Amino acid sequence: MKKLIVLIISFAVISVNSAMAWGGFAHSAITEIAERNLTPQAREQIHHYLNHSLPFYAIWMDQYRYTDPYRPSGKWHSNWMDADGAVDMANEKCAAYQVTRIQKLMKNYKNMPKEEVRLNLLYLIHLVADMHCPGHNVWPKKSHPQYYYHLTNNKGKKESFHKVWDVDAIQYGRKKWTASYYADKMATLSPKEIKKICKGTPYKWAATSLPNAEKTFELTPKGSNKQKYSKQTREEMRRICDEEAVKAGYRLAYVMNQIFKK
Amino acid sequence: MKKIFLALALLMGVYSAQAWNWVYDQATLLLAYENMTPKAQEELKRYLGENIRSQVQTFEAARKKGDLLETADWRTITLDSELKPVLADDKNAIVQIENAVEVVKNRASKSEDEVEFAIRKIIELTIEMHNIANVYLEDYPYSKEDFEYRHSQGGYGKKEKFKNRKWKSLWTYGFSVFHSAWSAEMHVRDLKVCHGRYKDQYMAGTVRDWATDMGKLAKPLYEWAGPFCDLSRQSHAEEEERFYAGVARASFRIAALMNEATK
Repeated sequence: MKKLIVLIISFAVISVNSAMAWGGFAHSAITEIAERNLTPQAREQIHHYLNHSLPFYAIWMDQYRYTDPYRPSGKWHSNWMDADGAVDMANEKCAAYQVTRIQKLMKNYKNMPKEEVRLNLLYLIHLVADMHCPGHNVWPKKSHPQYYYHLTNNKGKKESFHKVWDVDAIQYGRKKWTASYYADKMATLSPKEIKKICKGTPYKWAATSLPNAEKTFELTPKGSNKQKYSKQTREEMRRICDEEAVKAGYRLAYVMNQIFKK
Repeated sequence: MKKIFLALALLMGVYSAQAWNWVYDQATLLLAYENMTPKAQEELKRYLGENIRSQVQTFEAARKKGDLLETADWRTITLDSELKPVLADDKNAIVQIENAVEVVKNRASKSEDEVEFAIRKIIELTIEMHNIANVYLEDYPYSKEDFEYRHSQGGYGKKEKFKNRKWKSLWTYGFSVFHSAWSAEMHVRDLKVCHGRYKDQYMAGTVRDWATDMGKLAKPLYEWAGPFCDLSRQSHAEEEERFYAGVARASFRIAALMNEATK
């Protein structure tokens, strides 16, 4: 009887967690880390403007990127590099550019209509996360492979490089994890470490993430079989995603705390 | 009996794993528990056990095993044109919840199994009556049907695309898709953020008042919804707020019922 109960419990747990969609997982986890690191003042203001916690709107920009009047924002989800390989802060499509623009705009949030404040918060929630996605960096064609190239699987079918880094890599070996469990396990930095991570500007944050972004092309080269990556490769992919996701969580909180500081 | 229900609830996790209503139900009960008096909390744990998060969807699990089939008729509420409950017999959530509260109030003279079953009825049927899929409006016959609607798939740079989906599924687990990595605790926090300030308002009144309240929540929906209606991205977001409003109401009202039944 005991064995049967253990079996039932195990099966139930596995089944529940297999329902997760990992595209939303990383965004939910990042916003969960951020929510936990908001100052009381920022939390109160955000809940006032959004009427929800940060994770509720984690993928709002993805849901609405092809819906009027939000279509233009559909192009803001990646960091774009200039001809010299540096983050192109003159490019309006660049996520770091948009985060910086919104940060400046929100300095005046008290004089802005509530709907405008809300919309800009929704943008920040998603863009601070997306600018840390290892697969969300676009270099000039001459210097780098493009992020939309394909990998393969065991059946020889095409698999998106972008999806592997957005969705799969952070989930290797973690199909049972919820966003809050991820935050419990991964967001364990000391105040001193958090301060160090949050130092600088979105431009600097994007620039310091580039080495990790560059590694994506080495770890998952064009045409490689995504189901045959070695354990070591998968661990490295997951490590890169974790490093970026945790930074994104703390930085999102920092951006929000700065906007709503007393 | 406790062990049987626990095993069934765990089994339910297997059945409903693809639907997130299990997590929503867990969140509902966790939030309800937070709002119960110490006495109500004590009685809940006494009859259902310490692990309260597992004590959801036990009726549905039993029905899937061929037991407690009569409970399928207790999930709904019907409202007339003035949004007053229609109570022709006891096959509705309102009468069943009222009866269950009486059993818990008189628990000293009842068997342990009777009280446990009554508490389960309070929890599960209060959740059910706050699910829009179980709110029938006589003025809107479609509210009773599981019709197909057209669910937006977004536009992907082109015109918005739609896919046919089932209406009742939308209200049972369709809104969980965008929050599939959430724990029950994350839902609890979010419910408190968006509905915590209405707690006293939600908890006041009787089960019959709450049925009318759910009718008011559902009526604007059926003024536009029906077979093959379009659910755009924008409408989806608006309806998710309606869904959440039902979840929050259920949470606070389970607490109100347990507080009343155990005072």
